[in-house]
Amino acid sequence: MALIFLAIAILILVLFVMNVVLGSVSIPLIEILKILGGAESQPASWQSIVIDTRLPQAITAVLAGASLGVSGLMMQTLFRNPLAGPSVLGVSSGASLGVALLMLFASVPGVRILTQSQIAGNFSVVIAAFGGAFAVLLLIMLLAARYRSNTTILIIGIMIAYVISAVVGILQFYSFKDDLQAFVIWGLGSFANVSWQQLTFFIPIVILGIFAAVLLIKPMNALLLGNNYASNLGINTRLVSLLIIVVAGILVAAVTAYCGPIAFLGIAIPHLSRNLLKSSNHLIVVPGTILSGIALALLCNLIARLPGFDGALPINAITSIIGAPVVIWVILKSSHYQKSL
Amino acid sequence: MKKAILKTQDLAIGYKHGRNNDTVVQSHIDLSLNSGEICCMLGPNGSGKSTLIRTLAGFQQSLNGKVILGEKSISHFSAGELAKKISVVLTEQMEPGIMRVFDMVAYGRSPYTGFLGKLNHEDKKAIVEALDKTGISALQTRLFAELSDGEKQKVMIAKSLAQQTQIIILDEPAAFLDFPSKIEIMHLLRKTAWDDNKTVLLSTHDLNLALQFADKLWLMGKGSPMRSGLPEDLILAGHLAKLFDRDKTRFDLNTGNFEYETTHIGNVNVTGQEIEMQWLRRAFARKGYTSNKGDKALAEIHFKDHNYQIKIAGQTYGYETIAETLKKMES
Repeated sequence: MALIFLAIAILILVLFVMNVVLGSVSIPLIEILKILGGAESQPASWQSIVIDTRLPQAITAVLAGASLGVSGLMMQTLFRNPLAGPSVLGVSSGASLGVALLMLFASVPGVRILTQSQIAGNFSVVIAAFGGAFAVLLLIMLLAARYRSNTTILIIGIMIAYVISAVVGILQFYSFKDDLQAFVIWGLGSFANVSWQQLTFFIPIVILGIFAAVLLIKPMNALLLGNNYASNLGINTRLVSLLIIVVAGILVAAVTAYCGPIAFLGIAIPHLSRNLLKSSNHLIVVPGTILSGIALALLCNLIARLPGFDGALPINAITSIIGAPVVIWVILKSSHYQKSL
Repeated sequence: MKKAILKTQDLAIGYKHGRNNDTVVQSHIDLSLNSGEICCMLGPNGSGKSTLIRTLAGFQQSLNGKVILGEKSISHFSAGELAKKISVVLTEQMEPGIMRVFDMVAYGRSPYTGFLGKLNHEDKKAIVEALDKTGISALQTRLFAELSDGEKQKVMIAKSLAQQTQIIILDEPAAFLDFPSKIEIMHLLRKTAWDDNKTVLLSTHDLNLALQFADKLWLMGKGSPMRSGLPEDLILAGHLAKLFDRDKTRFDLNTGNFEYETTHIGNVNVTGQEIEMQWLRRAFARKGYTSNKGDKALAEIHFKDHNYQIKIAGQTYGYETIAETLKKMES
């Protein structure tokens, strides 16, 4: 098992370097090392490409992969459902609604605050996404505090997501063409729109969220036996359920705000790591999910930027096209998995 | 030395639906459990066995009265404290994922471990001991999901043993098991109670098993007060017979079984002390031929020289099997 962790860690290192080295402009590795070392590079534009574009993008992929993996795992454990993912609470739909209100509705009176080129690094988009996500998260928390049954909360979360999608659909229907295109592009997700300044918010949120998830490892293990066994093992299941929802919700809100709604990774990563490590024990799966989430996100980002595509491919298309067959292959290959999800 | 471990005082159990809208399942329950005893709870479906178990384990609140553990009411225990006093084995089907038997038993140590759940030397010793006592040491690296129902039940009992609680409560631990596994599980539970001076409470539908293994019975009827006592005392007082009272079902004081009333056809005179004669009597009784001395017998039957001899209307016939003898009788 230690070997698998080591292998994933090395893979992450390799993928991270490739994320910085490969791109539409080819820069020799030596020059990149020089730039990272703080030296001046020959064409000055290389410095900007590495420092301001590729490095923050790779770091964003790392943060998003880790967050989505952990929050997906938390949802699957809380709801004892292999199909649960970060989107089941409706939090990412809430973020979409916030962004849709900003991009589509707010611009109707003619105050066009956005054009496509301004999406990158636009602080108001991040604020709108956080606003929408937290509004839904608050609603879910209130319901979770009131209703004990996890299934009830799961169904309500999914229903809220449907209602919000419908509202977003109506907003899209009555919006201008340019606004609509900007919104659709936001919806396809990207790791490329996070600036260094924004990373100074993004990094601490993710670190805090993952730290909280680590504190929940033991209660999450107990929840695998069901609520009654868990409370007989001394776990306050009500409090733990609420904490899981809050922590997973904050992680998803952050990722959606900075990268757009990233589909698929959150559902896939926990399955991938449980399967690779042949365990459902959170003491193993939480670090496993963080590492394999980082690796998968870096891989997807790399493919989206492969020479030839020139960064033209949206990240959401890559995560599903590349990620889904990988997960299917892993699950079919493993006899353990078919017997016990 | 036996002492009272768990007591209920005027306990009422059931479900709260809102203000002044409670469903009371049982009320005025005054019972106690001692150390070193195994108690079986019997009662028809819907009488509230599971509700009582859930209340005693602290999963749901009582509607009235108290459950007293040692000196204080269980509502004054924190979840963590209660986890070191009472452990449970439940009926719910679990799908814990990719978990090995050792990990499942290790769950019992949760109340004792630190925030990450790391096992120390003492924890591991308790787990190994629990695996050993339940006879599943050889299974410890197997996947829980791949075990048979009986093996899974033993794993959950081992979890309870590793939890090192004075009280172990089990909800129908013998359901879904084949007959030898039932006996094995009951023997294991009794041994735990007797050897380790623990208190074991379990609900069951298996009357034979309860009569064979229980030190104490709790009888739970619909709409009648709960009874507690030695199995044999309860039988002789007629409480067990009343518990499952239905039109055609009656409790046989001789066999200790509930039997379906068959139409009485006639009397036969079955003699002999061999084991074969007891089974012959049962076969005839099932068809409605009972052997009451005094009444006029339709036939006389003996077992002699590996032969069943039946005398009907002056004629004697010999058969090798009970089936043939019975067929002759019915013709």
